[in-house]
Amino acid sequence: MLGRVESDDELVVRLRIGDQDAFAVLVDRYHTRLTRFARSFTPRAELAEDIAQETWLGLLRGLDRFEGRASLRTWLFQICANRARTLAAKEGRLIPVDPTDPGAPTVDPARFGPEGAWSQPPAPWPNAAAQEQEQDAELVERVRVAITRLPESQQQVVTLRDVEGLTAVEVCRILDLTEGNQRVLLHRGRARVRALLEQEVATK
Amino acid sequence: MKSSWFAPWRRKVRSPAGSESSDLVCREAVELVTAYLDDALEPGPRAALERHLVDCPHCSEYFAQIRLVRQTAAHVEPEDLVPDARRDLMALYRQWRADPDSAAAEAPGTEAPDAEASDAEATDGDETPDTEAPDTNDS
Repeated sequence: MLGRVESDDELVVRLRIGDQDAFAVLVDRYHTRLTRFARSFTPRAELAEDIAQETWLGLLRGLDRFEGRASLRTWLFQICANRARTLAAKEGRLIPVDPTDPGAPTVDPARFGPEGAWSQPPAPWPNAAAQEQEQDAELVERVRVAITRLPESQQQVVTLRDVEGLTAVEVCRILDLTEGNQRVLLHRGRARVRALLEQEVATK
Repeated sequence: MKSSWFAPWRRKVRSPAGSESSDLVCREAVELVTAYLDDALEPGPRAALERHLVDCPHCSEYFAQIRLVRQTAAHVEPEDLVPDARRDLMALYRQWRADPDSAAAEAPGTEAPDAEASDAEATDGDETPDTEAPDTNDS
């Protein structure tokens, strides 16, 4: 048994019969990820921590009604998003709609010629072509920082899709988005992260 | 450059590589990357995009960079768990076990216990829409 990683489902079963250790394992597994996700709703670290803590209370209270039809992970992020919105509303702060026009180009139009072909093409990145290269710690850090600079709604979608690795269906459910809106936000967010990295490469 | 944005597959234009004609121009191709990676393009546009990528090294580079962003993001680790947070959460758990209804009122780490408690109560039902939502297998 030693070293075996218990599935979320197994831990939920244990949690239902009052196993405190199961709760501790889930906290270790998800709390910092919930806090990170909460930070995409608020720049205030302590508020994000509160949101994540309240998420756990929401989990405990909803445990009897959780039927396992969605994954525990999806459910936790969904409680977290709802809690973040509730707190924002209570503070009189509206969750901003993505300020950018969804039809606006994600690459500066000045980089294309009159016929739409690149006039200033992207400079090749040394490692962009390599599919299975070693993870570059510096690049990971640059991507991390770039994501935190995205507008809130883009940051939420990119965090869930690309950092957490959730599916489009899960993200639509968590953030109450249509499939189309979800994709627009992901598209704009990824393009913006790429552009930020490009600027850094250029000034390096 | 204006309306062509919304009709990406209408025109035939020389590709930037200058070799073959292509259904798409670069400015349009880059806007399809996310739908392409999500396998959400219709067969026609998908084929046009794939032809364009074969012809265009610049768009291929752009797509590779977007893929790298996605792949790298998956390696971003959350910050370490704050020891206090773990302690607070275990206290929260014990409170909830002792009295499920009062746990929120003394939830640790909250600045305004009364307000937090009423908030938690008021939205309790909203937190578990999954129990009503139709099943979508997420795996």
